[in-house]
Amino acid sequence: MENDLLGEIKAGVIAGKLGGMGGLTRGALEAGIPAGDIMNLGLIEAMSVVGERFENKEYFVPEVLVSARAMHESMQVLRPLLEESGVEPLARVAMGTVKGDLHDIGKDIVSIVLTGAGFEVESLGADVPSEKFVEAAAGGAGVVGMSSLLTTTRPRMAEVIGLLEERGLRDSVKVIIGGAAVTEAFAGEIGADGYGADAAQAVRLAKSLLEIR
Amino acid sequence: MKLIDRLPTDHQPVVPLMGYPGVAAAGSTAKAALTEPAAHLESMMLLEKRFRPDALFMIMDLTVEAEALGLEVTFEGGGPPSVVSHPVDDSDKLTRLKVPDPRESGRMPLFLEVAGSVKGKLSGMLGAYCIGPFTLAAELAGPEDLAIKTITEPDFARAAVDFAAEVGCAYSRALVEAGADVVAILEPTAVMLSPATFEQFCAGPLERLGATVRSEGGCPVLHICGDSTHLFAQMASCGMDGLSLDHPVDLADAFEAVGRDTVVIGNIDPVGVMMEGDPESVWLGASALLARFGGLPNFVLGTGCDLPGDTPLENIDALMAAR
Repeated sequence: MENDLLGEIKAGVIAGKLGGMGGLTRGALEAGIPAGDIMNLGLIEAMSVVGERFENKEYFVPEVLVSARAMHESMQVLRPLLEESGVEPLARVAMGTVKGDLHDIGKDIVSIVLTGAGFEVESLGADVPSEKFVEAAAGGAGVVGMSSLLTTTRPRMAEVIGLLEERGLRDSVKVIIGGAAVTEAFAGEIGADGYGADAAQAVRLAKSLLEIR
Repeated sequence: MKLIDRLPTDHQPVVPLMGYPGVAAAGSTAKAALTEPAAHLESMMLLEKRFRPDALFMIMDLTVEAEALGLEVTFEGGGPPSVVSHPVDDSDKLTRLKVPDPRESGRMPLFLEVAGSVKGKLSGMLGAYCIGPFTLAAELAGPEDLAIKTITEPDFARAAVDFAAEVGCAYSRALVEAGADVVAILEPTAVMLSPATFEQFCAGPLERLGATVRSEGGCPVLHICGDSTHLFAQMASCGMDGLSLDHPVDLADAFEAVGRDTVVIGNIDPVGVMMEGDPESVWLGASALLARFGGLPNFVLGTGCDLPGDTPLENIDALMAAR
């Protein structure tokens, strides 16, 4: 029974089933499945499958976005309960596109794949003032992820790292960058901890930097 | 005449997309060049004098069509402009939009005027840009929303892309009339689609847009940024004169996908090599491409995407030296 309900939730997210995920989730809770199990064994396992399919080019951006939306429907029911139960994610990643740059999709896909890998993602959005990244680090994010698709905006990344140093936060957070405007060499130049060319690389990078197996 | 028949045969054709380095070299700004015809013209003529490329493209602007449809655009940040918000998210709002008249809508007249002024002053062809139908539809509805609606509301997504293609047809027709020899159709947002979704939403509209450019006597080229390898078969079937491809792809796969009369343009890394590198690294990159494809009559050496304004002009010199 439990396995059936969890399986249905997992399948719903993988298939991007919209509209029914809240009901399925409430049904699982009523059947006595703990919220943490629904998240870890249902949602996160599903997003991990979605991430794999994305990497294997079986899924593309639209399919991933619809699965993420299905997951969010379920999370809306679970979130208040998870806060009570104190379920811990691997780490929190604060993710955003730097100030002056309105591109959303790339870093959102990275966020979704990170979620599937067990990270909690704090979404800062696009056109994010440098100060916001610093606040997220001060608020306990283990990783700050920055995206830039316009070379005119990439100096903002160095600015964020400078601000982190000024506030004495640089050693408590890992900084990873990505997007068409940046390169591995640029990451080295500004003193970021790493560069990811795609979502899968970003996950591997975050895990290795935090020494998560 | 098709693009392949317009290419020079006495040397290796080289066509960098270098509008923004031109703007920087002229001491101008993106905003000035994209709002004042004289500034746009000055940047282009500076590039022509220094590089004399086989085709000189205008300064890239992916917001012209959206702005002509009433969307808000910002030049904040000093680089290429962006569309601020994407309010056309349902069929009612979509059906209220009319195809703008390029002679009097937004900044479209500027591009027509500059194309007319430049015409006849170039050693090579004149290239203009037109946004691709899926990318314009994504500016209208929002990129993530449109992506989701290809699955949840396919009728809306299809209508939005079809409408966007009509806008592109009107604008690109006017660009060719004004003097453009080549129209590069910029379809970056489509890189996120599966081959099946591309086939379902983009192939037909792109084919109509390309046919319109050709019926006016222009050469349609399709440009998609990023790793578009998974779409090569579909891109090759849109009836384009050429494909312009970004640095993450292997051009050998593209030559395999297209016919011998379809031109393949690319694909030096615009940031990692052209902007961050030096003339030597540019020359190494160019030589590697020439060694593999230099003998092919349908190869045009170019940049994978539009060059950043901070690209050193000496690096573009090094690329041009391949001729």
